[in-house]
Amino acid sequence: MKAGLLAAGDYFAPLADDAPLPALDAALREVGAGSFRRIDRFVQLALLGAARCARGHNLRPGCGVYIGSSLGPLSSNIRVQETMLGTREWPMPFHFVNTLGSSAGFYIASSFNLSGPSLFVSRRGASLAAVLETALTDLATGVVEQALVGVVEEAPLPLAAQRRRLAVAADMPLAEGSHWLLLGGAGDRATHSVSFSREPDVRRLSVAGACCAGRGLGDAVPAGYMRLDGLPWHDSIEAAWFVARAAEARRNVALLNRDDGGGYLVRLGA
Amino acid sequence: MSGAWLRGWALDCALGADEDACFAAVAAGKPPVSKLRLDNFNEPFALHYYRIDDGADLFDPARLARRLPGVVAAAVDTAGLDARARRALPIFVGSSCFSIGESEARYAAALAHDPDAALAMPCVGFEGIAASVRAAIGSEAPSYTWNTACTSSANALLAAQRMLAAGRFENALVIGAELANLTSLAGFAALQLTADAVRPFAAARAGIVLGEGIGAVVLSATPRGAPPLCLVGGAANCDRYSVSGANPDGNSIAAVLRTALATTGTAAEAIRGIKAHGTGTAMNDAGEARGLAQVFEALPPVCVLKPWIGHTLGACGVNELALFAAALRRGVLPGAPDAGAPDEALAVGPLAADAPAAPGRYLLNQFGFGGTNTVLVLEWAA
Repeated sequence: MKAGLLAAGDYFAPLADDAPLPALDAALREVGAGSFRRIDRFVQLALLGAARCARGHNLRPGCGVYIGSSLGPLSSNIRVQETMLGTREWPMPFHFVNTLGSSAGFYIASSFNLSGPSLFVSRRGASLAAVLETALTDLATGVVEQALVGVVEEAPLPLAAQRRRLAVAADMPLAEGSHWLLLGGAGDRATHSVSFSREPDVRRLSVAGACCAGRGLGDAVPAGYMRLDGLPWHDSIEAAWFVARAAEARRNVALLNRDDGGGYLVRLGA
Repeated sequence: MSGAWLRGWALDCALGADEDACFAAVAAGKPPVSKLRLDNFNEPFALHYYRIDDGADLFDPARLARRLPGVVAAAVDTAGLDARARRALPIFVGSSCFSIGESEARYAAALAHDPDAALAMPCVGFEGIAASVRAAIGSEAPSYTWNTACTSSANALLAAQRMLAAGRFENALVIGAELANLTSLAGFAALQLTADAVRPFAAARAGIVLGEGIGAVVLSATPRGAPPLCLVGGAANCDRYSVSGANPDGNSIAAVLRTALATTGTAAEAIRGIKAHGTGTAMNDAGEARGLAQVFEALPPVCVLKPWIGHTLGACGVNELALFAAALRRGVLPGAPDAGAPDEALAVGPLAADAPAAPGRYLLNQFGFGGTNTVLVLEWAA
């Protein structure tokens, strides 16, 4: 499956143990991503990444919003549990609503006046593959003419607690990110394309790491190198980071992502 | 006809653990709703609830692992999938509970043991259901887990149907799962959306009654089954009116209904019946009724299933499809118990007694928080 690559954009921030999360309000204002009350960090991240991708492009009203995530809106779920079980109070209604995967898509659709499908799909470290396959299927079958496709992962503070939650080493670097592609169909002019294929036999290949290991196969990588290492949250955001940054630079690259369901190959090309 | 044929299905809900038990309970005419009291809050509250009557502690986090395998096995066995087909079977999950109940239980236990070290949300990610099913049936195919509030499993069904129609798989297993958890119960109570009884489209409707249910449907690109039922397609859109409710003017619901009809080549007059979302809330029922009124000059029979099994949230798409398919197999559209007098302003009077069902096309509506609207088109092929 293949679609035209119209735009890419993202937000990514490594986080420090002794610092607050970066403020996003100014960045959201800069990209005109709306001024919404009662949204949480996950929604802010989703809005910022999507807006950086879509700015300058006239999105069609039926454009679909497709969000992939390994962990989803974690900070609101944490807050609701702490409220209910820690202080024995009922959750605030908007905190409860923000626990749902569909809330971020609602605010993106509202920000861009979109009325197409708004979807959230997860597959551990291969959430990029799951959401891309879903969007490309909808594009190929004419369900949507455009698709705004992103992967969003947050890392709630304190990071020490988050590392316990993820069962990773106490010195594991953590980051938050929101990486997006705007894909179009036959009616859009695109110089590059995104293609997706499943590679069932990839499990027979020798790929280091645990269940979600993969590797970059490109002829050029945008910065640094791929280091998918089998940690679902890490693979999810790093795969999306790699593809969005390569797409923004219009590089020809490939990404192989794998999990228990097989291998998934994402290619960017002219 | 290209589409996804219902090759097998199973449902475990408040009505019973299998289809026969469910319809025996329906025949008895009494909704299996009970009162649930939650004392572990500074301000304790009680609410009505459709629980799976398994004799276990309602918040026992092991319940999902105990109930899910039987439902999946029943659907896959009914579908007659051999070992090769099971290995190649992709898993589509739609839920709103996932491992939330287990997270709550572990956090509560940690708070009791050592509050300073207790960690909220100790279980992260959405993959638990798909991973356990994968192990149980021996699937080596991809999984897709949907979290779009109350349309989660309806969107899982629609995605599976589209991937089958596109030739990407031969079969697909679609699961809806919702079991009791404090987040859903307290969240909806905080929103003041809960009621003592669910009476969709009634003048006396007062809100939703939540429920538990686990459903599984095996879809296939190849026709099989009696009656031959096919998920021919559907549509989804986003209603930007409110993050927590459809626009009561009905415009966005009319739009998704029209798209579902148009993309499946279905004339509105050809619809034999509608399984409404019918939550019993003021806002949902107003939006749904007005949306239907914009699309249908003469409204086909409307049935509502939440008065029988409660609102099973993200699982309601699969659970209500399984129950609706089972009703079609019996040749009936189920009537609702204790329906109450219809709200004349809405002009939708759901069936209060069973009505005969005929071959043809049916609509199944699901709407959810986050503005997600999803309509499925089901055909009972003659």
